This record gives sequence, structure tokens and C-alpha cells, in this order.
Amino acid sequence: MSDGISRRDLLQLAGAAGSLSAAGALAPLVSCGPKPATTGALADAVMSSAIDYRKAKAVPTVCFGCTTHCGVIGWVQDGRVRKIEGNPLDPNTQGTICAKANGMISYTYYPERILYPLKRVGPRGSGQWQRVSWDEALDDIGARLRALREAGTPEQLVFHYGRDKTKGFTSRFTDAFGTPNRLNRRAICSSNRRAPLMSFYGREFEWESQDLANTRYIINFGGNPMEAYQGGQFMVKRMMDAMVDGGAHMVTFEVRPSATASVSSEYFPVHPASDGAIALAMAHVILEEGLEDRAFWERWVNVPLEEVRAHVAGYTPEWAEGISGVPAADIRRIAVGFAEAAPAATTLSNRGSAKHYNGVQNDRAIRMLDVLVGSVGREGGFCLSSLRMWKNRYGQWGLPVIDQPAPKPGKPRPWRPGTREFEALPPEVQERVAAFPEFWQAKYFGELATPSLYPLSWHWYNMRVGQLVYPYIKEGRQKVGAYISYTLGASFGYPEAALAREVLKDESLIPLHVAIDISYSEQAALADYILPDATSLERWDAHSTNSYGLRPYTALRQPLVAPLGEARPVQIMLRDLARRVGGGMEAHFDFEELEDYYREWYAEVPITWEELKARGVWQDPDRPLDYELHERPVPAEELEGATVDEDTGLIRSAAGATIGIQVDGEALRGFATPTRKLQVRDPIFRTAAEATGLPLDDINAQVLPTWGPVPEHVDLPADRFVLTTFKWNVHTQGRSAYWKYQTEIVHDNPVYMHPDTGAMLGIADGDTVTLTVYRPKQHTYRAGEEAPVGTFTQRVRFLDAMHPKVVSVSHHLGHWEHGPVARADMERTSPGSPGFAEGADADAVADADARERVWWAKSRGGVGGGVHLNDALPINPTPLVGGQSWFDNVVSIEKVG
Amino acid sequence: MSLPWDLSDPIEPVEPVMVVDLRRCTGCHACAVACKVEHAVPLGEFRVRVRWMARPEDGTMAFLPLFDAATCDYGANRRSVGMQPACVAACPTAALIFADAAEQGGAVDAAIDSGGRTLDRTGDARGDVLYRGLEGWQEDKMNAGVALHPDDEDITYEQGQGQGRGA
Repeated sequence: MSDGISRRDLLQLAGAAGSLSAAGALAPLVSCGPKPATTGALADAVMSSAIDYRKAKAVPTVCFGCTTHCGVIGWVQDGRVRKIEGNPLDPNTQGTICAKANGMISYTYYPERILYPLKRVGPRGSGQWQRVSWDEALDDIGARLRALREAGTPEQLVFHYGRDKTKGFTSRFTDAFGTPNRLNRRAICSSNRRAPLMSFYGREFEWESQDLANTRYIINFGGNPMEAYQGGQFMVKRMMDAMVDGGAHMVTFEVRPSATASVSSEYFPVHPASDGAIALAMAHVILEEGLEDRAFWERWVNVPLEEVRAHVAGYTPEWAEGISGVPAADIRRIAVGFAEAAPAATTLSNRGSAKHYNGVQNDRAIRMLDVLVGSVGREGGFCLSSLRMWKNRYGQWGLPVIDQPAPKPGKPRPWRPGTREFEALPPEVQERVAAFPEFWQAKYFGELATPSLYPLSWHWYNMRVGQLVYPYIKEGRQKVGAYISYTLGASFGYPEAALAREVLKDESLIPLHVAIDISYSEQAALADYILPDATSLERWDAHSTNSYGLRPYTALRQPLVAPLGEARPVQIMLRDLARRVGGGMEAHFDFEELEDYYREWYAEVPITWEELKARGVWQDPDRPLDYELHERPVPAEELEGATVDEDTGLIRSAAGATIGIQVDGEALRGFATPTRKLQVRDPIFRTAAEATGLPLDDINAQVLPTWGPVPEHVDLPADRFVLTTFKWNVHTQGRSAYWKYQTEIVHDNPVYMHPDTGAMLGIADGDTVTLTVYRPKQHTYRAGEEAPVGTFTQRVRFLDAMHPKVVSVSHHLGHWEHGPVARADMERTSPGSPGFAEGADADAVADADARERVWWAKSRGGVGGGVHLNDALPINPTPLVGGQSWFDNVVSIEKVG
Repeated sequence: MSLPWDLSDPIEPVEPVMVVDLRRCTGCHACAVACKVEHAVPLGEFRVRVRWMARPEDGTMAFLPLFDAATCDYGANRRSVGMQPACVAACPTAALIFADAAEQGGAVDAAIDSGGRTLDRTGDARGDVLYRGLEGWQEDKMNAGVALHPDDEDITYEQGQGQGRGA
């Protein structure tokens, strides 16, 4: 026994606490809340009764608390979901969940939940609504969509989503309708991170699956998988086990003390956007020390190693120290440690490195490190595992096909010169597109879907540039006849969100706005119709994503309960709209029961539908792990009739498809790139620069991974700082602020600042400051304008582990809709509450917490619900790829109180 | 078909102890939210709460789950049907282990042999929780413990205080 603690001591302490006897279990404690009021009676009754697990039933489904989509189970008792837990059968999560999963219960039984179709009364955005029937709403909307289609202008339907996990159902609708304008938020999010991966590894691998369970060394450039990272929940346990049990070493470069930085073996505060410089200096060290995996490089990489050695000759650790602040000796030591641990070594990066003017190049430099040490596809290294639905794609060899039932609609045709749509484009756009290489002309669909200034936003696939949608509509680049917002929070969460609201309110720009959502969001508040969606606890979806266990799997989302009120799944809404539009659309939506549609979707999976529903997940347990997919031989049956190109080694099937590459006399799969090689050198960046007029010396035009500064960070004055934003582990984007337990934990978003920064500016901890945000300097929307973008005012909190040149604010908060929990406002109610829920449904949703116990409300002496800052953040797409440079913002800071 | 969530025999350790391996805790709050939902704990009341406190030496965050002595019963309702307490089941890194001190060579022994200890200063928190990896300064900054306190410096559960440093 150590330090005098014995089991007897522990028993005595337990006895003193009074809650447990030595003899065993006690009777369960029951929460005693206030007596139920007339509204919320059912909700309060549920809140005051313990879950009876002998009566409750567990149903597996897929979480929708963020974009990771973990397998979960929901416990259902008396027709109500009571609890969400991990599904141990999910091979990716290994049965784990995060704090957000139970938010699904909050958002399903929430007083501001929209339970009936609503039609606006009075001016758009005035907050006045009348309840209408589904037939009335769908008849009107369907008639207006039909008119657009019959007029031969289907492209005037814009379907803009924020989160769509129907895995192709909404595109079935837009394809059948004939519009290419199914817009998204990829550029708001991760375009800059995906482009480098697709450049290196091909369209199939826009995301990697590091073998974290077996790794010995991780270099993390600004990623935060412990809190907020797509797939983070698949990584957390593997990483912590590797570090605690396996002795793995993790180095994190960050700007603030995130949870990931805090649990890392080492944390270095770094200047924003310096990640690529650090990575290139590490490449320099690895080559200098002779620690590269030459055999791997020469076998697979499309550029000679000597060319890269010459390229990084000037990228010394001393040079990188000057840019990043990381001492040169540490850069050397870490590079050597990484290379010596290889192949069980991997990089990790996400928003921190990518959301900058130089973010695409930062990530190319980071990804090159894994290539240099040969950890690609190796145990403990940087692995690739399929992340798309199973349709016989690269890496999916031998998997059953999981695809929507026939008949699927065809795709809209591209906008070629001479077509009506093309001739309506502004002249400079026509000129630019007409000069594009043919492979881009063949997939150009107008300025909203395929913005011509950002060809790399649609080169690999349609990532688009969501933050330019509202400016482009305002500028008249695309006439809009009808606009559907689907789980979209642009009015709150987009950069320069005020512009989104201005455009949405303008009926001459947006004649019809339909919002499909579950909560009265800032976006729904600006609609003409609000159609209530089923929540993720009430709907079907097919799902597959990349597994960090390196073996593909599929998961089924299924309803745990019937939709509350008159909510309907989006699939049913779109089917019913398609039937009203008619003209052949209805043929693609020929189903009555949604379950039948999904049963057919999963027809080829080799277990029964009942078993899939019971377990929630399917995986072939005998399938080999996805190590070194590039080294897999092409099977003999695929080689029948195939030809080999003598110059390139490419193997083409009898049907003409490229299926592999000849390497040392063997027919291997190679990488999923056009060359079947790993493309460290990619001329597409130069091609895109030439096609758009971006100067060829711009960092974004470089064909090898290169570092250059963010233009507005050069010679940054002493009284200017970089504002970054960040996500919390209890929140997701702009849609979680009304989830009561999560917002109880994080409801405010102060400005985090280093104490030295405060001292320099004469600011004390707790003071209120106004931040003024300035426009970026080069080659982006409104670059170089002198006038600031905007300001916001918030309280300061000092954190010693901030980088002194950075201030950081979380962007989840500061809502003016989504109800009392999100607004921390017990007095004012939006039009949504509780008038949307009537009678029995009001009883089901309006529990006492939301009505009475928001303790952080200012009226209760609390700090309130945070400050909205997105109106002040500039629209800032990175050249060519278009990813939003969220973390470049230059600010000045002034004390106001 | 047997499934992992099928109910089973009650979990009734002879000498119940919650072991917390702070080396594995990432401050994710999954335990806190799971307990809230499991037991319908009203806003403003807490049975388990994870403290986020900045390390004096370097400002990185250290996490400390605390269990309320008055209201936490280590998930008795769930244990009666063979389920782990909600917090333990929710923890994604197995930082929480509901163990039996009477079990020879079990999690309690392993924690004690690695220097694990209970809190010297408990406030309103359960004193029978065995922490592995506790940093001494954490008890100095606990204040009340589980209940919110105006002197709390956590950056979660914000109550609007700064520390008045500087300027």
C-alpha cells in the first residue's frame, strides 16, 4: 500500500459520504423537480421518473450530434427516447460517445422545436407566422417549383444545405428536377484540407485514417480531435490508449490550450499559418539526416527525391523558428523522433493548419512528411480507408454495393458556350470559362455550383464555395426562382452573415424561401415556409464513413420513435414535392413506406434486414485490414483483356478504365490518382492559376508543397493581432446552443488572450473590449479595402498558454433565435415558443429546465448566452480552392469597460 | 440474438470505489451529460461535474471529474440491471472505472500501486473516489467542488469572472 491509503480507509470515507453501505446497492435516487405546469406536463413527468431498463427497449441508430456520425443506441420507454449510449458493435467508435450525443434528446423534445408547417404572415423576417397544413404548403411550393421547371429554367432552384447526411437522397431530387445548384458548406468547413489529400491520393481519399491504435509518434498541426474534429470520436480512445499504454509521443502545435494540446506529450504555441513552414523544415532535417524512406519514395512518388531535396534546401529549422516561434532545436529533435519512429509515425492536421490563405500549401507540406518517412498505408502510420458509400470504388473491392433503388435520375448537362444558361453569364465569366481546359468545361455548371474563379473547388468533386453564394446572388450572377435552406445556419454562421440575411430578406433576389429544419433557427426566421423535419431520432439514413479500425463498415440510422407533431422526414417531403412537380420527377420517388426504400438500398448486404436493424452495423469481420492498398495486386479476372502503357505503366481494362499500374513487373492497384502514383508534385495548381489570372508566384499556384506568409500577416504592427475561432467539445457549429445540457457547460464565448497582450494594451482580465476586424489583403473577396469588416464587443479572459499574437473566440454562441436556452433569455420569447407546439405536443416538449432554470441568463445574474461575431468576419475564400480562411483575421483591440 | 446491451446480473461490489485515471481524461464532459440525462438532473444541479483548470506551470488545461457526495449513488438504478453507472459507460477513454476495493489485484490495487489517492480536501465531493494522476494544485483550486462557486476559474460553466490580473 502506498501513502497510507488502505481499502479500509476508502470504506470509511464512503461511509462518511453516506451514500453507500458496505453491503451493496441502494434504492435508486429519483430527481424531484417542481410540480408540472399545465404546459410541459408530459415533459416534466418524464423528467421526474427514473428509466426502467426492464421496460425500455434499446434500438441502434446513428448519432447526428455533429458530422462524425457515431453508432449509438437509444433507450426508448413509453414511446419516448430517454437515453443515448454508444453502440459497442460500431467498430469505429468502439462503443464510445461524446457529450453531444444526448443532445439529440434535447433537440427532439425542445419547446422551440417546429412541429407544424408554418407560413409567414407579413414581411419576410418579421417573425409572424400562421400554421398551415402540409397539403397547403406542399401544393403552393410544388406549383411554384413546377412553374420553374416547365419554363425551362430548372437551374433557378437553389437547394442549399448545411448538414445533409441523406447520402444522395437530396441530390436525387435536385438531379431529377434538373438543377445543378445543390449548394453546400464544404468551403466554410474543410475544402483546404481535402484538396491536398485529393491532390496527393486522388478523389477517393479526401480524408485519411491514421492508424492511431498502433502509432508511436504523432505530430499534430493544430488539430483538436479530443474536442472537435470530423471523426474525432473514432480517434480519441485509440490516441489515449496509444499514449498512456503504448508510450506514443504526441507533439501539438496550436495557438491556444485546447484539450488536445493539453493532453499532448508536448505543446508549442505557434504563430497562425506557420504550420507549413515547420513541416518543410522538418522535411529538410529528415533529408539532411538521411532518415527518409528512399525505397518507398522512388517506388511511388511522382517527383524525384533530389528535386524535393533541392526544393527544401532553404527551409531550415532556423528559418522556421523565425516564422513560427518554435525553437530550431525542437524542430530538429521532433523531426528526427518522427522519422525514427516511422513507419509507426503519422501527422495529424485539420482546421488549424488549413484555414488560411496558405492553408492548402500548409497541408500539402504536412502530408509530405508521411510520404518522406514511408508511413503511408503502414501499421501505425498514415493510412487510407474508404470513406464513401460502397459502389465498387477504389478500395471497396469485394464489398457489397449499397446504393439507392432504381430508377436514378440522370445528371444535369454542363453549361457549354452557346447554351441559354451560358449566354446569361457575365461576359468576363464567359471569357474565362471558354478558355478553360476541356476537362473543366465538361463540368461547368454556372457560378453558384462551379465558381469559375475557384476551379479547384470543383476539380476533384463539387466542394463549391458556399460563402460566395449570397454575394454572387446579390451581384446577379445567378437568377434565383426558389431557394430551399436545409439544416442551414448561414444567417448566423457564415462569414459576413449580415449579407446572407440581407439577400434572404430581399424578395426580388429570393422570390421564394423554404426552410427545412427542426428548430426555429436564424435561417428559418427568414423563410416564407418552414417545413418541420423529423429529427435524427425519427428518421432513416444509410451511412458509411472511413474507419480508424481500417476495415470498412456500414451503419443504419432508423427511427426510434415516430416524428413528433406533424414533423416529417425530409425524404417524404421531397417525394411529395416531386409528385406535385411531376413531369417525370415522380418516377424516381416511387415508394410509400420509407423503410421499404432503405431495405432495398441495403439489399446486397449479406445479413437480413431484421438483423441489420437489430445490430445497427455491418462489417465483414474477415476482411483484411486496409494497409497498403496501393500494393494490392490487380486480380487476374480484372486483367483479362487489359493493356499496359509502356511509358506510364498504367494498366487499362478491356473497357478502357484505368485499374492499376505496372511496378517492377507486377500489376498493382497503385494510388487512386490519374497517374496511379502519389502526387507530391501537382501541376493542377499552376493550371488553375493560369486559368483564373492568379499570379504564378502566388503561394497557391505552386506545384510543389511550398510555404509563404498570409499577405496581411506580413509586417503585422505590434497593436494588431490575429483572431482565430474554435469549436468546443460540447457544441457543434451553430445548431447546438439550444441543447440544454451542453449549453449549461459552455454558454459564453469570451475573448481568450495572453496576459502579456493584455498588459501591452492596458487591458485587465475580465475587461470588456471591442474587436475591429480588417479585410484580407490579396486575391480574395473585397481584398485590400481599407474599411473594416465590422466589430464585436466581448469580455476578455486571460489564458497563459495562448500564443501572444493570437486572440481566440468560440463561434457557437450569441444566438437571437433557437429559443430561451440558446438566447439565455427567459423573458423574451421568439414567435416560435411555445406557440409552435400546441396541446399535447406542448406538453411533450416544454420542460421546466427551458422554462425556468437557465441560470446563466443575465436576468438571473449570469453571464448570458455569448456574443455573435460572424457579421464581423470577412468572406475570405482561399484562391483556387475556395476554403474559407477563418483564422487569418487581423484585429485591433480596444478596451471599452 | 444476444446483443451487448442485454440486461444482466446486478453489479454490487463489496467495497465500491470509483477509480479515475486522470491520465486518460480529456475533459470531454460525456460523463456529466450522461448523468444529467440518466437521472433528469435539473439545470443548476450537478451529480458529476468535470473541472477545467489551467495548470500553474504552463497554462494547459487539467481536468478533474468530481462526484457529488449528497446525490451521487454510483448509478444504482443502472447497476441493478447489470449496467455500469452512466458516467462510466459514457467515458470514451475508460478514465472512469467503477471498481471493487475487495478485488485482489483489481483496478483499485493498480491505482493505489501507481500512487493513486483520494482527495485530501473534498468540499462537497465524494471522498471515496480514487484518483490516479492527481496534481496537488488541483485541490487548491476546487472551491466548493461539484457545486458552482463564484471563485471558480474554469473556462467551462462560465460565471463571468476574470481574475483581475494585469493593467
